[in-house]
Amino acid sequence: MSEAPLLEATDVSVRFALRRRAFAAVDGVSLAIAQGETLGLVGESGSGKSTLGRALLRLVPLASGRVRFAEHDVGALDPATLRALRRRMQMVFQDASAALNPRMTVLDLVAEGLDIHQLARGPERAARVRALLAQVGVDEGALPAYPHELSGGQRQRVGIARALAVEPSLLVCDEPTSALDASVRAQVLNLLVDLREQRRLTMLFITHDLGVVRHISDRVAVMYLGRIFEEAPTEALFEAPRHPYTRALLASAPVPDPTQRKAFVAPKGEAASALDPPSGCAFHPRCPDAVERCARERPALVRIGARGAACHLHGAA
Amino acid sequence: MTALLDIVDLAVSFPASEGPGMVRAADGVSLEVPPGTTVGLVGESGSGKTVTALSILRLLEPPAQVRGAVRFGGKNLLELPERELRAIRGNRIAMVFQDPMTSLNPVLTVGEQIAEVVRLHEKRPRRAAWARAVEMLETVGISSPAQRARAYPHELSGGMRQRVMIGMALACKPDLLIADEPTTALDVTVQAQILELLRRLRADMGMSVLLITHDLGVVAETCDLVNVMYAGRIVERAPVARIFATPRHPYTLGLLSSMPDFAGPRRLRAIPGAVPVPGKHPPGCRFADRCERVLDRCRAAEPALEPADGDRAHLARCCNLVPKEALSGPVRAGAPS
Repeated sequence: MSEAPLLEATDVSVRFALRRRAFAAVDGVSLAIAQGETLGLVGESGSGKSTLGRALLRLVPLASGRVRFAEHDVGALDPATLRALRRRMQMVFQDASAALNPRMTVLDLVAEGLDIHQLARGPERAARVRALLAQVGVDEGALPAYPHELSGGQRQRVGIARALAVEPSLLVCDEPTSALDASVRAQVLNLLVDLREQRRLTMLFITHDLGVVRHISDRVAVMYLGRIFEEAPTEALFEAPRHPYTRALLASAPVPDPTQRKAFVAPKGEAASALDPPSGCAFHPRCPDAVERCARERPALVRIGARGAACHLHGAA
Repeated sequence: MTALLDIVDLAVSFPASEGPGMVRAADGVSLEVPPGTTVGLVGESGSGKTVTALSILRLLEPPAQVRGAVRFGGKNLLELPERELRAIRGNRIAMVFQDPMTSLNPVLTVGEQIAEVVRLHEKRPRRAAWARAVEMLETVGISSPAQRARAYPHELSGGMRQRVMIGMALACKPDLLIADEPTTALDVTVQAQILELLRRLRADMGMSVLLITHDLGVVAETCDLVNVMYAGRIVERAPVARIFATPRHPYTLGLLSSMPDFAGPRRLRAIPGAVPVPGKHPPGCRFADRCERVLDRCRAAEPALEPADGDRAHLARCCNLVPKEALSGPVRAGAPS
């Protein structure tokens, strides 16, 4: 990468407490997203992918590590500067009905960012909202509507318009299509791809859906129990996964072709809990390849060229 | 071969949310489940797939109205006295739901819950029922089953709870398992374990499965026969290979083309618009407003579910069938390899 990445996280950890016990939801993650790039962040529940997304925008506090966005050290910003910077980093959530204030109209919801950052008022404010709605494919007639009067797909479009209103350069999308029906999910994915091109957006796309991540990402990072296990350009990851967990994940995905049916080789057991993480590599109790060293020593994510895998056995091959 | 389950012209209605009258969530649904097969009922939200499944065992309560017939073992389940129905429910037809946490009793151990099913249905004594519960936990792949039988639902993970539900459903060796989105709430590696388990148990026990799902990947992996539902209607029915290779209804083609797994990096061919709300269907074909193949006559009268080009194994409810070669082009980029 010649120019500095737009977003760079170095050794980021996030800790929560549950029943007075502290645990790391994100544990020493480093990643970088170049200007205009879409990084897919994929993982199962409890992998820490959503927490990481929130930490990058400082929506949850960092326990340690650094997040740099453009020229700013996000973790060290005072509240006023952080607030101003949020204009450039926006988020789209999975559940638009929970993310949208039920007592605000579509007009006010989409305009809220314009109001907070004092970007437009009066007739210009209304005109900007109309233009945004047109761009995300919501009819102008929806302006006076409340969120409950919209369909799920329309609500998510409003959530996207709301994020785009302040003209961000980074969009963090946290499972934006997971609550949508298949036919509507495709519309919203197409919309995000179009907007990315029109606005030269940089995206972090968080999802558990392998088909979606393959479709939308330039590069993919795979998370497991708070850590990145593998990172690679999208096609390289899907064609030749290195980490045994990535392999297991891909092998577990149903194949939409009944002539290709074969026995699933799902990893045994279920993801360990972050409250009680296994020693060494967190995947070793489920890993078919695990050797004694895997239980003892935690493998680091070794990046060689565009690829990296945190595995003693398959890290470099 | 006569069908194990034969649903004939089923209609399920609910009171309209606005104004008087009833709206039909499922309308004129007829389908068969032959012995030893897995039949898929696929659709998006609002398609009527879940109300159809719930009607079979009469799990819908008034004000819902269910009409038509559900034939099983020579009887119409919709007209059976409650006592006779109870002998079939759980014993010969069992059901598994999406969310095991709401189906399990939180204050009883999972062993007690499975044992209770065995005691009620097979009149086995307490100790034999407990032994059977532990055996079922082992069958569904739970390690240390004797110990896990003493656990409460909240002490188990989502995947283990779903295994418990399946173990409970299968404890009385039913002839038919109705599974409503059994893996939707699970992570993909756990989903793979449960799908593999269902395949194995089906082969071992020779039972039939009616699988309700929105996930075409799950359909491709598990079903023999597929029914596609849209807006309360079955719009297409065919053996699984044909549904994926030569879908004839534009909605089925649209669903397949909407799948990111299918399109790879290409632009998705999304279906425009949204699924209509029950009771607010357009006249004529219910898919007409979203259909790229729509003709004037599609809006005049609703087509019947008929053999496509005379093929009696492949039915579609469409006046302008998708040509057979529609999907053989570059759309299939394949799934994660």
